[in-house]
Amino acid sequence: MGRSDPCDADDELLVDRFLVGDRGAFDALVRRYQDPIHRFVTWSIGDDEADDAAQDVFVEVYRSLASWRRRSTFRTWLYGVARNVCRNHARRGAARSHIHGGVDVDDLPGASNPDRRVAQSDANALLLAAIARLPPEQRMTLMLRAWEGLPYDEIAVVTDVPLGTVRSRLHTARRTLAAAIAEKDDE
Amino acid sequence: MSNTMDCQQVARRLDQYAASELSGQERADVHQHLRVCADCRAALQDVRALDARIRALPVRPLPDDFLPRVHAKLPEERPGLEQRSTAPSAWLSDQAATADTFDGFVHFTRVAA
Repeated sequence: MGRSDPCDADDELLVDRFLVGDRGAFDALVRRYQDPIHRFVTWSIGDDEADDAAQDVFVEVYRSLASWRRRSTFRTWLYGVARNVCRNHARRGAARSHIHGGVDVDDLPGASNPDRRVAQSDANALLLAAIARLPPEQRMTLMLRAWEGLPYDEIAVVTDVPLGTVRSRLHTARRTLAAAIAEKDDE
Repeated sequence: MSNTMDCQQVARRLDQYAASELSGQERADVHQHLRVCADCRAALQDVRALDARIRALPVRPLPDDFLPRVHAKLPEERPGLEQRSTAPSAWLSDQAATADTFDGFVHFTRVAA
């Protein structure tokens, strides 16, 4: 979804309505983005705190939308807020549980659902484990691209790095995952 | 950039090429390279296949009560609403004129648990 997407214009209209006091416009923004934000947060910090953190993303939007200066799309700004909320939750989680950087594979999406876990193929389990071992910034970048479909320039803004860094992170992450898959295939 | 991209340079741009996110000379250079490099053409397919596998991974469902839980955490007052609601157009113009930083980060404050 690029910047010319009709969704961007709709977002701006909803933001305008929200800023003049229309609470329903805020709910519409939540409904529009709750699934991708929940997914993004889950992939970033794991299942355990995902629900709480995803809610906090929208609470922060509610609080700080007035300071959004519209130099990016609303979606870009929203993912930036989500990134910061994830950082804070991860920092708090690391202090509590001594997780350093990555997430446990058991905390990744679907892993906490026994039925889904049983049904999950070995290939999926392998891929999940490899993703869990990626450095957080690579994992976040990969998910923004592979799952959410954000263009590279938008990912660069969300993650606050140059475009070349986005390219490097994605390239390295994909090579790592491909190597993990190939290693398993060779066994 | 000239059309002398090597495989490593092309590899970092395959994804964008496939998504039509490259423009001008970069797109032409990658296109030219792919015409003559079977390895990079295969690598492009690998990128697409890997991303498809990632998208096929199980997704943890959103809780049914997600929105009510968000509502429960919202502050009673929304800072600054009264001032903006008196002149939204003027406020938006001012913001657009003075905006020079990617905000949301600089104003970010920790959400209370």
